[in-house]
Amino acid sequence: MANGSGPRAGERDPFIRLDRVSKSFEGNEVLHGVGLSLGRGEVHALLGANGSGKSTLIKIITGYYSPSPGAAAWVGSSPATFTRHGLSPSSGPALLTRAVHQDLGLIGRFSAVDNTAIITGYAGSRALGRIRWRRQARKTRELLAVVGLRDLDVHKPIEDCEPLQRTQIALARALAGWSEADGLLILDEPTASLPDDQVQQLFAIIASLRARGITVLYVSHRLSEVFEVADRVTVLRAGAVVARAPVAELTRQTLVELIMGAPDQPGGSAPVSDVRHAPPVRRRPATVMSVTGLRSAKLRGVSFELAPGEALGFAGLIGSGLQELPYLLVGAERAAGGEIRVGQTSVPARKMTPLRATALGVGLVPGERMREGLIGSRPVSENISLPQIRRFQRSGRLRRKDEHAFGQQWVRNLGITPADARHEVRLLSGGNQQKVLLAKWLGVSSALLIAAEPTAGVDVAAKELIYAELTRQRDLGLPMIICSTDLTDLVRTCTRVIALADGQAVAEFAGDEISEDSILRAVLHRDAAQQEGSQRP
Amino acid sequence: MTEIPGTELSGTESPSTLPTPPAGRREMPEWLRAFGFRRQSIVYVELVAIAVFLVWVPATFAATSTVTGILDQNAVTGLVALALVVPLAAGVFDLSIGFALGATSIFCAWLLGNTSMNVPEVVIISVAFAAVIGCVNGFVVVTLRIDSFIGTLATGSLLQSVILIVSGDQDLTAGLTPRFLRLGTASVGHVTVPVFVMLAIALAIWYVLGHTALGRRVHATGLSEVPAKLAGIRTDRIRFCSLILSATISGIAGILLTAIVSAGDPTVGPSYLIPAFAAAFLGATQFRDRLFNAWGTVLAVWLLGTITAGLALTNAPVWMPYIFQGVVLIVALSMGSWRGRSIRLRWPLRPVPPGHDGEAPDPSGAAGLAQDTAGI
Repeated sequence: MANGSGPRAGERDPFIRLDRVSKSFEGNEVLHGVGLSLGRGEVHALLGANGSGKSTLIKIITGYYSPSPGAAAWVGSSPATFTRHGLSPSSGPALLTRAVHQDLGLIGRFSAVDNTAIITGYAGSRALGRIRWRRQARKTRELLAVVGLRDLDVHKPIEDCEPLQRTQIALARALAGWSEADGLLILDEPTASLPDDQVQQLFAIIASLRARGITVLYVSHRLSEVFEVADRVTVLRAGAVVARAPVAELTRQTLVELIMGAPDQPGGSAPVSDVRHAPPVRRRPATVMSVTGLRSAKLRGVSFELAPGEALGFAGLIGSGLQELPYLLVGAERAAGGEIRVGQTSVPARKMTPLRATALGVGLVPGERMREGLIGSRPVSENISLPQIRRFQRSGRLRRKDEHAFGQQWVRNLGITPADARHEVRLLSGGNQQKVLLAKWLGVSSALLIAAEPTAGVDVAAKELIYAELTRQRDLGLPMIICSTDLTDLVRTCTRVIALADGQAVAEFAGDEISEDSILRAVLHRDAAQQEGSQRP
Repeated sequence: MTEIPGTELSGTESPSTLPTPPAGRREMPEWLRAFGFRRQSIVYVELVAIAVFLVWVPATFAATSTVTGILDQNAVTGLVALALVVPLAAGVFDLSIGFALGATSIFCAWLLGNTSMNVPEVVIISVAFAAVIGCVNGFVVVTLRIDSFIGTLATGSLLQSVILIVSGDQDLTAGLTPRFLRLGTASVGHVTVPVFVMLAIALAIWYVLGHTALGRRVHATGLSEVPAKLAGIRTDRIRFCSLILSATISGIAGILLTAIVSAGDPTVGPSYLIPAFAAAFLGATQFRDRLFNAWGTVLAVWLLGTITAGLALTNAPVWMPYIFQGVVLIVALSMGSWRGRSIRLRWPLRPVPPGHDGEAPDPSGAAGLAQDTAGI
């Protein structure tokens, strides 16, 4: 659809224009004078790798962050200021900025009526503030019709709806009270939670919005989608704009290179040298862990072996099964089939439990630090000792001194601040909490360590420390499996990386082949190939 | 399994030197901090209450009988409150304990009146009956995954029907032999058996919850279930067992109550529920850990009992004790650093590690920013 539409007026007569937008967090500049211009009624794709600054830029546009001084913006021809509610033009009609985020922000137990009304307000009532449900339902249906959702039971809890229907409800909600030409709709990875067969339908909806003159800023890292829905593209790399072009002038290959930087261009992608310090892996005959045919809702038969001293990384997009994999390996989520062998012990994947995993010396550093990993109201030492609490019990009594000493030792080893294991975990910073979590699981992982998103939500310095500790443990011979959507994690710590796409292993890299570039290429190309292979009406 | 290096940190016998105790702090010594108001507010409030009554009704309050009276009259309440501590620590409510107490009390009286069993047999079978009640609770809450708050309310309703069926809505007094009644009245130095039973159970709960690995697992389950599960703790099993234990302890309280009042009273159970909850939650504000614990609960029961007994001596109107209980609870819970926000941070002698002067990092702030910038 985009390819046939010809060059649009966007470049010469932009609807929204941003200039010199910079942003720093704690001294790190993550956006360096970025410019963006959106034509009225165009679908504009914003592309970039992890950490390229896409999310930050969006959050500046929606008003969640304010940019560093010096940024300028125009809406139409009038200058605009950055406010908490988005861009505010100095004259003319206000600009409506609505964003639909990846997780949609809906309440699963509520119906479509409530989910929309919670933003738009409930229909006017008479006495006692009573909600006029019939009118409210009619209003909701009208909203949903805008995005082509007609025969939905609007009173059904939306957790019972199809993923596409949920996306449509979120879209409809974002478009409520919208008068065509004065708004900007931001779609942040809208297809991430959609099954493949519903992606095309979403594209049709986006096309219809565009036909109505709605301006869409479309964020994705699935390149094939960009070619289907977008008119123009802005590519960010390392916080700066590296390309701005109509989609029709681009090929997939050039786009990948724009996102990653040209392969031979030094500094184009993040430094990859650290992994070279890893000692060559001596292949011993024994394997630490071998997994065969691991299946679940997302995984469609994944097999791999982990050799002693190896750090095996898994990469993949959201929805590839990557998020599930570490939990399946320790039985925190129930697998559908497959077999997991640790050392000499073989366990059907379905029968794996966290208790069994810890008994086998397999520890999982879970991804959601505070929800899955730590007990915020308890001291550092108690958090670290929990998976092996029995060790601190002698003749029927818990030896708190031993427990504290153990925790204190980890605190010093990982440089956790404040350097006192008696502090409650919730009082620590994110990076230090992550170190506590790492300590907790390094302590039990006698056979191997599994880490899910080991550096999510930590600052750069803490990240370095976590990398240092992981590589140190690896070099000391602790085998590990690292599952991360942050490719830097994998490049910095792994000796071998398997790329997952669509629930299957699609590529494998070892030693010098490991780079963010190569991994991302594998993941993206697979995605692209898949889209091409299964064209739907 | 091959010997794998790199795990040298994982043992308690690690080669690294043991940590030196952190030095150079503005910090009260541990023994002194143990007496801080923040940790033991109940003790201080109790002392104030005693002082008030000593001034108000000196003649009648300052008597040995007052002390033993308070102990005796609150033994059953104390047991029910202790019964609650375990499931609460494991993160489940047991609202059926009052009914479990009543049902066991009636069941025990019925056994005495309608069978030829001797006292030890009756006690054992009644305790087993209570344990079965706990299994039903566990089945409903853990196996059927019904929210414990409503699930145990439902089983409580079933137990009420059991009470009425067995008792025919009559007091059961037949067959309560003197030998059985001695369970409630026999005393050592003016203190009756139920008080010792309560103290023994408090001791056991204190030890297990506070000083064993099992106790740590129970607390971890209650504080945050997902990390507990991932740490290999069988949280379902812990919750199931905690409900068996709470019903069993309530059952023991029910047997003792039958002996104390010399009857199986079909109406008596539910009235223990609220004081027991009050004491368990008040008790959780006490001591260093601010977790549900046995001794804090016992102290709380005694505090509430002191107020009730003291006011009774002053001929205060019948509604007065409830006012006092309510006020004491609200005040103690709000000051007693429940989940410890305000008071903890303001306490002037809070240990402040060098180089970290109180900039308590906000996890949603700094971490959130970093995450946003890293997000794909």
